[in-house]
Amino acid sequence: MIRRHYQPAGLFTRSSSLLASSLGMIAIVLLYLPIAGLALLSFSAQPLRGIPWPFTFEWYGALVAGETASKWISPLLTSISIGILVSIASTATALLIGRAVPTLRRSTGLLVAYLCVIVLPGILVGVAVLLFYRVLLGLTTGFWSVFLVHFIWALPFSLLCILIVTLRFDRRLLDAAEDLGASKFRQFIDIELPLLMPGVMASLFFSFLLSFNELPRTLYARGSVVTLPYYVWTASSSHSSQVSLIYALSSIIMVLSFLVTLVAMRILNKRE
Amino acid sequence: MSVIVLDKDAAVSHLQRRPRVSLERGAIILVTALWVLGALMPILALFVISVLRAKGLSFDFSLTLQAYRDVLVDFRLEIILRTLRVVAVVTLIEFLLGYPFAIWLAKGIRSGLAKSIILVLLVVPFFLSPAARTIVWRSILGNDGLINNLLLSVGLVDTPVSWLLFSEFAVHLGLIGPYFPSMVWPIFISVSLIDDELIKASRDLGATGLQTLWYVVTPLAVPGIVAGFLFTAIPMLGDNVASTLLGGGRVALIAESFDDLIRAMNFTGAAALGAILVVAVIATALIIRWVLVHLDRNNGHRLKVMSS
Repeated sequence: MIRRHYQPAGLFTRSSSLLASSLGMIAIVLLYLPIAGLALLSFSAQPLRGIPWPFTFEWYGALVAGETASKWISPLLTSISIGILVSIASTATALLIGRAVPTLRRSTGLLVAYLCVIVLPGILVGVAVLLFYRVLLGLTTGFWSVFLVHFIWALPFSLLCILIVTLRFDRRLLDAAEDLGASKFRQFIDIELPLLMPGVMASLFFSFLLSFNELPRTLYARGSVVTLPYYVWTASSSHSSQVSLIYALSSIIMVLSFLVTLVAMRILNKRE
Repeated sequence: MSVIVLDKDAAVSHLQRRPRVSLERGAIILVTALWVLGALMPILALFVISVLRAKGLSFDFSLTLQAYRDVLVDFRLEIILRTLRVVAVVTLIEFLLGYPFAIWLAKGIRSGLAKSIILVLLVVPFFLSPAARTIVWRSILGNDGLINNLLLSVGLVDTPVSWLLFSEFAVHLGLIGPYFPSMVWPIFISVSLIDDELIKASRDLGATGLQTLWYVVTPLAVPGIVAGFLFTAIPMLGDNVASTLLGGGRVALIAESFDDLIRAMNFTGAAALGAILVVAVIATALIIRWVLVHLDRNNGHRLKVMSS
């Protein structure tokens, strides 16, 4: 057999390799075309017609000037504060559970209980929270219920980030520290936490982003709270002139989210 | 061998010398109890709420199946069936695009840099706003959008092609991109775990690439394929972005039904629809699992027949 005609693992010929990669590229183009288009059209004078010219900064200017600014600043602050709270809460919870999992004899049940919500359609979680707390228990939904649904969304991802590092952590290091006279608290702060840090940081970033960009759950659990994605959603489902501004606003959020994701992935991939 | 014994000793000494901190254990139990009560309970409560009799804005605590009758009326049943059809078609498309691609990404790609870039491209979308990346399709597909502008200026059509936007076509197109990573990731991971030696051995014994794919790679990738179908199809059942922004009210999916029911304050109806969705989620999971386990058994059988 002539080996140089196929790939390292010997599964692909040149043509099948081309076929497989182009099939995937179709989907990646469908995924990134709207993202690139959004950024491109945000500089266009007529974004709704899909024509990237003539070039203008008009929408970005309108975002920071005058009337419109007051409309998205307050949703932005709401989203940031909920995002920070969710990020801290879900990382702390994930740290608590994730540290315990390697030491437990049977952890499957615990993991299933925390991770099963990952596959539930977002809208279902939102509706369930609305019906249970608002309708059945009669509580007023608002900031806390938005926090709750975002927490439900972010926790499984945080837990996965933390598990990546805790499952690699060598617990004998703690025994060594104990032999050398370190207290439980010092063992955690000086030995365990620094080694778990990549997972903790990634969890903080990822859960913030998940909360910050969350829409379907928020739609139902929000009460009268307006988050940034909800504002974008209402403005973009309407046919108002607002839509052009939304392109600019979404582009900024998108670029920032992209950068934060890259940073978080970089941290998670860093080997200690 | 001695290393393993040493590890065992260490583990034993660790169990003996480090009794679990009871405070920490208590915290875990408390947090888990709160999680079950606060997060999982509302979902199970859908079943309870769905059989209560609505009485104004509250409930009369007697049982009835009226809510299910409200939900399973003609037009809403049609919406449920349409949702199932759209989700099945898009999931299948994702699989056809994603399966060869995931295998290529795990075993075929030569450049490490290209691989890293593609993997990053497949992670980032999870953290982007779903609405923001869907609205732009309206500028591309709309009546005075990019494609129609191009077609008109070239002279291929005289009037704008209207079925591009606010149609089932647009909804399918809008769903393919966002759900692609959830299909690729699990398959990529399970194929990456396959030992290269198995594939090389299969090729050395004279199997073609396709035979190796069918008899060696696919049976071993079954767990990833199952996970891929689950992670793609189930969240898609509740997608509200593509159908609202690109269906324009003509391609209502389950998500719009929730909207209607809650706006009409038909809470028991919304709960019934939610309960049906939970059952659909569990049933989808079980069916996909059953089909693939069955397939796996057949493959295993074939493998045995071939080797004997």
